[in-house]
Amino acid sequence: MTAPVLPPYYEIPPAERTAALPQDVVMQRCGLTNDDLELLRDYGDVLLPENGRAPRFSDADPDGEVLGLALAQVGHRLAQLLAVLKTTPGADAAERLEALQAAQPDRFTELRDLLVCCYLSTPMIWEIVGYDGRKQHLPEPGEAESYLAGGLLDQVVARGPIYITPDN
Amino acid sequence: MVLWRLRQQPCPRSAFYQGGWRVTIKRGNYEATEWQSKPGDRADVLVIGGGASGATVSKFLAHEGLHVVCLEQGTWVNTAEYTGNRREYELSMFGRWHKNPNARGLPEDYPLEVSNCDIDPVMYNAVGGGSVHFGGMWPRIMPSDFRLKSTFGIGDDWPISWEELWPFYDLNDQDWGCAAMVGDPAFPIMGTPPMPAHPINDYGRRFAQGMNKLGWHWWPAPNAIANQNHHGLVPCVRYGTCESGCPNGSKASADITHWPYAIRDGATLVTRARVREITIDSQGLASGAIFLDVEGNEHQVEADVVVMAANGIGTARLLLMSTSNRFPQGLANSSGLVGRRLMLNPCPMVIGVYDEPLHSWMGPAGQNVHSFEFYETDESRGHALGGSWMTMPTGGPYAAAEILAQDGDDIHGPGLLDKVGEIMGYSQLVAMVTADLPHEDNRVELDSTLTDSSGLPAPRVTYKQDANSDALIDWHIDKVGEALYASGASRVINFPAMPDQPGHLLGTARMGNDPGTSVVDKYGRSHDVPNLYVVDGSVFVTSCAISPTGTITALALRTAHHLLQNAIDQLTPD
Repeated sequence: MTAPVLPPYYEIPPAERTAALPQDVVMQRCGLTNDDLELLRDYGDVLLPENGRAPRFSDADPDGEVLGLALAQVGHRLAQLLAVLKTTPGADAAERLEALQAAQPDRFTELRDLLVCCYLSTPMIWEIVGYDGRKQHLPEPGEAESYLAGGLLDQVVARGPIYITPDN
Repeated sequence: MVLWRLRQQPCPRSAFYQGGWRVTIKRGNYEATEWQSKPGDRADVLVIGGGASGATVSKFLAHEGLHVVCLEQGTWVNTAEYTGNRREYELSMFGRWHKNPNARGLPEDYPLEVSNCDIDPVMYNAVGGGSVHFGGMWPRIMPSDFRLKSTFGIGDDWPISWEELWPFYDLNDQDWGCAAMVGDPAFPIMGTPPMPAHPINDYGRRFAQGMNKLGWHWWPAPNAIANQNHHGLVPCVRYGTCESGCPNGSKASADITHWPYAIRDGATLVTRARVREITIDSQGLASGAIFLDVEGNEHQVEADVVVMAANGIGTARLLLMSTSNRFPQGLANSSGLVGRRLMLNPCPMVIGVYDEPLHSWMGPAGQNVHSFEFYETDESRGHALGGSWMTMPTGGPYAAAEILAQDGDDIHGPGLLDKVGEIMGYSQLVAMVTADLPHEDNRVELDSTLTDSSGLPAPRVTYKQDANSDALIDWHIDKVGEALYASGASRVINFPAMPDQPGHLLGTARMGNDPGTSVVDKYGRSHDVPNLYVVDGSVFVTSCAISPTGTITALALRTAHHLLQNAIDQLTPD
């Protein structure tokens, strides 16, 4: 049995597990180089090209901020996937991805999902799709009641109990 | 015992405690590397596992004056680790906050051998355990669940009735900060919960309108999520990211709702303490445990009573690891049922997509509306058992992409954002928790090669979803689709298995009256080892069809009450 590849946060003492790890620390832990990051961006651009209002992958995260957040979570898995791609035939990123999808569809799906998640986590994409989540929405006074207005529960109550009471 | 001492009454008979104040085990919270004990040190109660059920027992018994020592292999989760209000939240679900310990891979996790398991079990090893990671759903089981065999001829009856558990649900609701609306006709009357139900939001109202058209039961759903200040919890702000730890401190988890109180009352919580074995004395009574700290050093703790609270996989694993000449098949296992009858509550889901915005990333998540319309067995459906339904938010942009992928869309290439925009905020999720039958071949064993980071054998989990579950899931998916269309959905997307959900861990040390066919009695006490108790989901006789944490902890509280009330007669080691 081969030793498991440890996630970048594995050896962080609990008291220091707070925000995302610094990118240089993650890259060192995962054995990733700057060239590897460029490769990831290339693969991202193939999977998520520019299209109308949608920027390509690398333009959606121009400073690599979100890719850095991804590395802190799954740098070990991205490193493994890049290693697979390095042995996958193809003249360029597009051909290698195509070959990977044909030969190892699970690996392709894993890489695609991670890169799509990066892309959809960028501020630029949130603005384009109008995502307003992960913000505080404390209910207004009376809001809970308002959703039940108009006697919404009346027929449920009128029907009465629906449970069976067994003989003990 | 300590309780008698605190009341300044003579202990009429040696129970847990014999012969004065002799416990010098340091109280409070510290790591296993700091553990020190002297010969003769003995806790009143040793709890294995600091999750929901272990915390429930510890808080109650510490408050009553017993010295509780709890060994927890995880540690405190710093709230700054929670990603639910941060940009990387959805990325973290692939990493630090993955629900599957095999994928998450924290050192305090132990690996699971699941090559023959149809559902990945979900668990979390930390102070607070799975309650850090759960959604806060807080339903009860139905009265018929206790009498499935005699009512429907299915499975087995529980050795207790619903009336025996109901008062403990009510007590538990206070401790866990239940927000609920009384009067749900799916259940006998409940006590007054400490907080009102959460808003059901636009999408919950939509679903309710559809259910009304069909004449089907629904109700604003109960959650262990605060909407007022309560027991250290603060009002929910509806991030909708409850399952990676609540960044707002609103969702009940035992690290907030229980442990600070238990420690204040004198409990000892030892973190990063990985238990290797439950020890026994010459009489075959549980005498304590041997545990390892993160540096690999071995320690021993003695106790009058041992309470297993390590979840439906972890408890079975530890009992099976605790072999001896007296118990060669593992502790408390004369029935051969330790680890068997594993039930995981298969959980399909259906997404309803609408043409108008519903702001459906808004929490809690948590549940908004629930339904028990099709919970009871009905032979005319062609399968046994049933399921409960709950509406939930569908989440952020990547969650929308996941839904598209399930629907057969390529989520790469041009056009992704348009497709995401059709789902995100315009959809709702209906999750179904389905009951599964107990099969002895669905089980937890010890793997012969895979180990945790301390070298202890990993559990090998075998679970094959049976034909009844397949039929039940298909039927419920169709019915949920009907409800969603009735509520105005323009299309529905089916997930026969909800990704990473829920893997409830139930049934591996079932309760019963017959020592030949059960592991523990109706109070969770081992038939074989009368000072060994089990209080986690292992004791479930049948799976029921709900999120089980409220029931697990109500049962744990009932066991704790029983333990205290009967302490005077409790057999303890020499």
